[in-house]
Amino acid sequence: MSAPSSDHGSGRLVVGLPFLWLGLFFLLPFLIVVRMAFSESAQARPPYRPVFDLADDWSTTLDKLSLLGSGNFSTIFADALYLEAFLASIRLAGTATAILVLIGFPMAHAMARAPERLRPVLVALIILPFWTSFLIRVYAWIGILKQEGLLNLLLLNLGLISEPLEILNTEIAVQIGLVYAYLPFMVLPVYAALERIDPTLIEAAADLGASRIKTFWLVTVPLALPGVWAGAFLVFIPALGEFVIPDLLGGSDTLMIGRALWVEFFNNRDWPLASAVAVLLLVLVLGPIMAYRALEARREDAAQRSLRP
Amino acid sequence: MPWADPALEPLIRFDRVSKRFGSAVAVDGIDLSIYAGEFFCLLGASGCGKTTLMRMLAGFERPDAGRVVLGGVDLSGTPPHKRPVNMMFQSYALFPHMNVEANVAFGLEREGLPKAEIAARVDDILGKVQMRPFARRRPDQLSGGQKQRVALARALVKRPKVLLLDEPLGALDKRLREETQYELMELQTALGITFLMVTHDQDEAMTMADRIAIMDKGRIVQIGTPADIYEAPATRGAAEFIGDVTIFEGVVSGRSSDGLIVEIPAAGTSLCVVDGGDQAIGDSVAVAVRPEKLTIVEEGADEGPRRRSGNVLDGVVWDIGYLGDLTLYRVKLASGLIVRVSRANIARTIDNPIRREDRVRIAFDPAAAVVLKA
Ligand SMILES: Nc1ncnc2c1ncn2[C@@H]1O[C@H](COP(=O)(O)OP(=O)(O)O)[C@@H](O)[C@H]1O
Ligand SMILES: [Mg+2]
Repeated sequence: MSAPSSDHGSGRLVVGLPFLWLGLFFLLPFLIVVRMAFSESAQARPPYRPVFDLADDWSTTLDKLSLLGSGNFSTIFADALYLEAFLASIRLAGTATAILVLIGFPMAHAMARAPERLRPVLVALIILPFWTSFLIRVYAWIGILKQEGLLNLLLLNLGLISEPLEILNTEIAVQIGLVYAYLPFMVLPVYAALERIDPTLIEAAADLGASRIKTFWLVTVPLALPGVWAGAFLVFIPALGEFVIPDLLGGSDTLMIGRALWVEFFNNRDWPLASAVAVLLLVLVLGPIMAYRALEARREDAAQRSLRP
Repeated sequence: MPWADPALEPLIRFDRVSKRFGSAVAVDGIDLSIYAGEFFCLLGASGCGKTTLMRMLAGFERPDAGRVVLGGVDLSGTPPHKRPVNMMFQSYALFPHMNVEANVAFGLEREGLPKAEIAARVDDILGKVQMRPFARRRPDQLSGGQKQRVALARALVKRPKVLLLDEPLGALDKRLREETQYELMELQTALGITFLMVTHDQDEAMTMADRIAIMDKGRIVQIGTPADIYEAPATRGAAEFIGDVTIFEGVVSGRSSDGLIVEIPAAGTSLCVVDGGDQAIGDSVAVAVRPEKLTIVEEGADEGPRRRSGNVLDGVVWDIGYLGDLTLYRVKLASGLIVRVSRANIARTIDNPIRREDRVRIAFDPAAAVVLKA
């Protein structure tokens, strides 16, 4: 495939621009973080000293590389605290994603089945919370979840509980906060996928003898699956590194990796260690994305192959 | 001919069925009986309510009034997935996430049939529509014609009492459409399933259907075999919708032994046509004549039409369309009215062919014309 020669240059620019952007604002900062992760903490400004130096000769570099085993990464692997923080993050983000699929799918489904005039309004309502600050919205949850907060007040008045529940500063509060904050990111892609489904497919399924429930599971859900996957990634990845929600709603015992990173960076001023945590977090996130991409590629490939009977 | 037998119970009966969308009436009190084994066609311009009528049989629309009866059973309370009819959708509506085989098996799986039987029936029907080599392909890897075959197979494999086809060939190009028309007719004969087809293409309806219902604005204008409708259209609209026709507007001025005398201002003379019996002197009528019922000769030619019938008109050839088997002449009368005349090209060459702007004489028998209400 080759573009017409006259606008070959501009065509290349159009393709190149996003890469330039990614290079400048993603790859370059990431490399800086990686470099920091391979540095030593120091009483300095900035508070680290690069291990590697461009002035080093080849053998010095090799020597230093062999010393890396005892660097920041091994500190992280050796300290159970970080492993726990990683596991807690995966657990909380994973649970939030699962709950969001269960809440978000029915919501998106109802939106996609609403009268056509109403749908833009419903989408606007989903986006509406973004018009206020994220921080304020999470703060508001403190008012709802605290001992004498709205939720406890309501439950007490309804007579459902006799003692106020302790929710704030627990993992449950973090879970609630995550589900609340990321709901739009699940609903919107699922809605987009559901709305794209040709309604005659649903009629065709009924015509062929499928009940409403069968049609839902055999036609609607499989066709909405790409939207669910997109929503799951949009939710899981940022939730994994979430800092604000565990910091405000979680207790001192909820240690998510984003919070560990913050503590390392600002409280302990150990930038290299914080950077190493950040690099590991990215690797952790990259894992499922690569797996998903590989899955997609394999499916495409199978489709291509079946073209030649 | 099942429709001619009054003792026979129709398979499908629409009983004063109406459907409106908001204030617009899509189907307006339709009565229609369709018999088992028929290839029945709903024909009409776009928007006249054909699809809506068919969707009420499939169960996707609920009639506002009237009943739809299938095999003696009122379908009012039956949801689409429990009706023994299957539809081939205009857009085919193949499930994009399933391959051809899975699409075709979908309906049988819903019936809870044993796996082996499903596999056998899917394979059999894919063979019938020549799609066996493509069984593992997904719909987006098929051509339009192949998708059409899969959609057909998916509906037929259920062995429905009625197969509903909504503009089944609308998305195919002309050559493929004509081929598929005959394949569909052969399949219908072989399987003995009643077909109810919707189309806006009169040639398609004429070619394929045992009977046609012509619809206009939510009502049925005429029901009959293609020949009935062509030779004896019930209204001017039906005459104009099916086949080529020339309409002479006039007033009944008298009766003769040959039939009705109709004064035609645009022809500058009166025409004699066979008396239908339901016109009175002074009525405004339309006289419809099919192009092949007229003869055309050059003015002054010795074997010109004799004046016996009385229906002779003079004009000038306005233009000529050569269609291979036929030549179509458009003859302009002195009043400006254009009369369509066709002539079969029986000989390969003609000594004195009629050319454009030749003065000609055209004629037709009283029995060749139909008198309709104006
Ligand atoms: N779901 C609907 N909502 C509103 N109007 C409709 C709907 N379906 C059909 N109509 C209207 O009913 C009339 C008949 O439509 P349809 O049965 O699709 O006609 P056809 O199939 O003959 O082209 C049209 O005027 C169409 O606009
Ligand atoms: Mg239609």
